Amino acid sequence: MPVSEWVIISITERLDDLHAMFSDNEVDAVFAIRGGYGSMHILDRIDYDLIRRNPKIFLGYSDITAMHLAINKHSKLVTFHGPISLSRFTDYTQKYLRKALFETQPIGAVTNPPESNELRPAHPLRTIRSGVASGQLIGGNLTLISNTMGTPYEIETRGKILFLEDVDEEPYSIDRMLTHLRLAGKFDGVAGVIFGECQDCRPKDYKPSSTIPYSLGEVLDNILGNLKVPVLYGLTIGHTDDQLTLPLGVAATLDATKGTLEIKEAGVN
Amino acid sequence: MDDRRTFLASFSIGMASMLAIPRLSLAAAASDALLHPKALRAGDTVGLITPATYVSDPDRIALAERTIRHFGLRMKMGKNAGKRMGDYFDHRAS
Repeated sequence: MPVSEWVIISITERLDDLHAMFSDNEVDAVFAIRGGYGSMHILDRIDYDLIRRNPKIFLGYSDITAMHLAINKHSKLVTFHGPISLSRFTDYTQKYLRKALFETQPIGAVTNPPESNELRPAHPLRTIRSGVASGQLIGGNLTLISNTMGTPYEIETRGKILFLEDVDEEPYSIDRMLTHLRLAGKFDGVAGVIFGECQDCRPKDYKPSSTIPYSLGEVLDNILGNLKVPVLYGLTIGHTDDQLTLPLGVAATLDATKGTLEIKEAGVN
Repeated sequence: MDDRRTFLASFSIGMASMLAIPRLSLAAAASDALLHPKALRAGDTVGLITPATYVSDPDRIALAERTIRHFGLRMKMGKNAGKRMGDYFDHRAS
């Protein structure tokens, strides 16, 4: 069987599960229990009206970013960037999952978990550009945000607080994706930017393509440091053991000077 | 003429939207009228799906179940969530 056929069959079965969960009156929320690869296959065949008619909590991150962007935009539904059922679920992760999904008051100000060794923090925060900015919160995995650009599902950033996260990407790769966003105008008119903690994002094996020998910090300063808006680096979003759950599309304020993100509107009601 | 008509049309739309602003609730204005789903409560059912990579390992599925139960929730597994990619070949052939 040619590869194209299993992709089509796989798409159909994955779509069936998604649509079945949103249609099913016994189901109150839908969790993607794994990211990995493949969400983009189904974007053009999702029934966005079905999801809008049956609004439910939709939770996931990483590859699931593609679905968040698409559902947020085309079903006009707040979805949740947060841990999958196989994540490590530390106390911090559990606390913010409860706040985001179970409580109807806004999450309020969030920052990284307390450090046991202040001199060598496990989750260091760094202000790349100081300042305070407000806007709707949007964002997700940088690779998926970059790869959905030019499609009907691409991210809208104007006037928004944009967060980006990734894992196991070398600085040249992060540079390439951030440059893609910059050239596409995604930083024009953005209110503020958060670059999350990025584990294993250091230069590794030499490849002909990795001609940028810079660190991740240098790449971020070079691209995000030139923006005229507040920029914070290191928030525990996405691929970290301690992980925030963030509602996409709600009002938020980034204080890049203090290193906090205030979620001012609940994602659930 | 066309330009002016277009200008007048957009002007009146502009006026209409300005007049409409006070009628929007603050929450709707802040969130650009996005729908908000209902909060979870203990005893609610969560549908688990794998829209990207599959999860076929029973121990990983058990871990997902443990997580859902920890939050006082019930789970419903997607019909196809546990299938490996390879199963799609068999499924189609049978």
